[in-house]
Amino acid sequence: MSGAGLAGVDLSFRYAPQGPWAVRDVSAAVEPGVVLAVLGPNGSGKSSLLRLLSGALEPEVGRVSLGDVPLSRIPDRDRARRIGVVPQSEPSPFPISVRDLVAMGRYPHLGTWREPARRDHEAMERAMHRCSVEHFADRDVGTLSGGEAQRVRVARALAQEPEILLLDEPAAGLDLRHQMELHTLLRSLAGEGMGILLITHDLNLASRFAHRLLLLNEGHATAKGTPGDVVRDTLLEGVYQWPVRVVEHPGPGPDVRAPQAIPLARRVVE
Amino acid sequence: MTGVAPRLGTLLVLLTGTALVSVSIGAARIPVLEIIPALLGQIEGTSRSILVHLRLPRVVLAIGVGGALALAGTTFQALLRNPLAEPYVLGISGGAAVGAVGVLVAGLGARLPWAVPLGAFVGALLAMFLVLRVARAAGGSRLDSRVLILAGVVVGAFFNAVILLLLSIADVESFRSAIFWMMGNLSGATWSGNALLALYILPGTALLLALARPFDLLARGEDVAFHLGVRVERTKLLAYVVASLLVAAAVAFAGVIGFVGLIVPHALRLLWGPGHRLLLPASFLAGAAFLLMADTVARVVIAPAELPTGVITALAGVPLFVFLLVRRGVQ
Repeated sequence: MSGAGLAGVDLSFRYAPQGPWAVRDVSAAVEPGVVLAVLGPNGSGKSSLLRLLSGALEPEVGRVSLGDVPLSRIPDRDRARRIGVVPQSEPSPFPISVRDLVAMGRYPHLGTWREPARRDHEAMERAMHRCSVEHFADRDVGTLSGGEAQRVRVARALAQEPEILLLDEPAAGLDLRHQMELHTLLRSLAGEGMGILLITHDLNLASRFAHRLLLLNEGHATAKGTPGDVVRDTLLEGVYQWPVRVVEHPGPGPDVRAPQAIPLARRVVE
Repeated sequence: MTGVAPRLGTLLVLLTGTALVSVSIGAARIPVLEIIPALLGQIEGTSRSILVHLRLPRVVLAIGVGGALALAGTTFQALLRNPLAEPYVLGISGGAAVGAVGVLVAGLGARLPWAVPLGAFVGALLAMFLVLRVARAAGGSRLDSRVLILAGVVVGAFFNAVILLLLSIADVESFRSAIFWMMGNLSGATWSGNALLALYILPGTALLLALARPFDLLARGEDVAFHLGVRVERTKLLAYVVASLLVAAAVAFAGVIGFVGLIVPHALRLLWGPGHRLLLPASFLAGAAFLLMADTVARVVIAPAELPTGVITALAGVPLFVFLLVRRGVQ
């Protein structure tokens, strides 16, 4: 892994000129070896921030750079070799096998003409193995469960062999075991030097698996820092407009004592 | 992607066989074995003349037009992610028809043989330009597929009104030729026309075939394609313009031949799946063979008179397609 990561500085963006800001003065860095979790209520600008960092949107103010080079100056295929993205959902108009979908991750390396060589097949097999999808590699993606299909899409991004991975709610719709497996995978990818940003609604998993949290509210960065800095009851209550109590994760495990936010029944707080 | 070469080989054999049969049969029969000697000048007389000046240019035109329409249909279906997309979805047929009918109604068709194709081509380009401009203006510089379809429908409807207006002031003779032109037929085939057509079809086909991988990714959504490194807007614009040029050239020489560009891509997708590295070349070959068969039928069924080819493509194509659709539904 090379490069100093992906950085957005003082980003502002709105979808219509003169319209409301979707993202306002937000800075975020996706550094090698670090898992950054972006949290916030619905409509707080999480997905817009991800799209700005991925190059899919251009910021109105601020700049995004990848290893000191402005992202907009990096050619599309070079960018796709370095940044992998798992969007929230995608259309699937025609049937396609798991293997063929993962193979799409090699496009930035192959381009229009080059045939897949051994190292391309190896990258695909590795990606499928990491995401435990190799045993149904020949099935049609349309027949898979939501959790299986999500893992296939993560595998496609890993087949890109990126140094940065951006995921938009990758654990949505996954059951308990698959959620834990996915977060463990992301953490171990970071351990190998990948820089990871994931959008999530699960404060508690974010607190256990991410090195840093970024809490957005109405387009602004309300808090950022370690889980201990962000998962605090007054802060969360202000953002989510709901009473919470923060307790320590009882363990056992490497994440023992991670702060966990438990939403209270409304009537407890007067 | 298994079996690309054998499947294309099968289609190539089918196309070659169809071409031989088509050259051979008609009002005057030319045995298949005499085709080569006749071409080499070893057999003189009317056979050779029919072959060189009538049958062969028409076979070549059918291959070019059928291939171009089916390839453009596949392209539009991939880019618009809409199963109803076909070569004329962006209003090209309407524009071409206004050009051709205008020339015919003005009485220029009989005096200047190239005026009708030229009028059709110019009309088609005008329609393409209008639709892309409207879509750009409405979609905020990006080519949104839903906006494009709407723009195509609206521009097409406007041109249809212009056609009706032109027809309502036409005399009987030009009315009849205009209606015949709109049904589509290949009887105007000439070598010089084919050479002009090839100028569009050869480079256009090569360009679209090169876009197979980006098309596969675009079928998963423009976001996904972008994240995988496809230059989305550039690819879309290039593909729309090239496919539209192919259709404009085809319509200029053959009129509005329907169903080839809708049915052939769907039939191939039902049979062989959605991968564009097979689908794009296969749709060219299958579209060529299909139109050649339809044109041969149109030529011989009430010989020496003939039917409009566009009628046969629909009459034969629709039941075939329904069969494939139902068969897949049953499986």
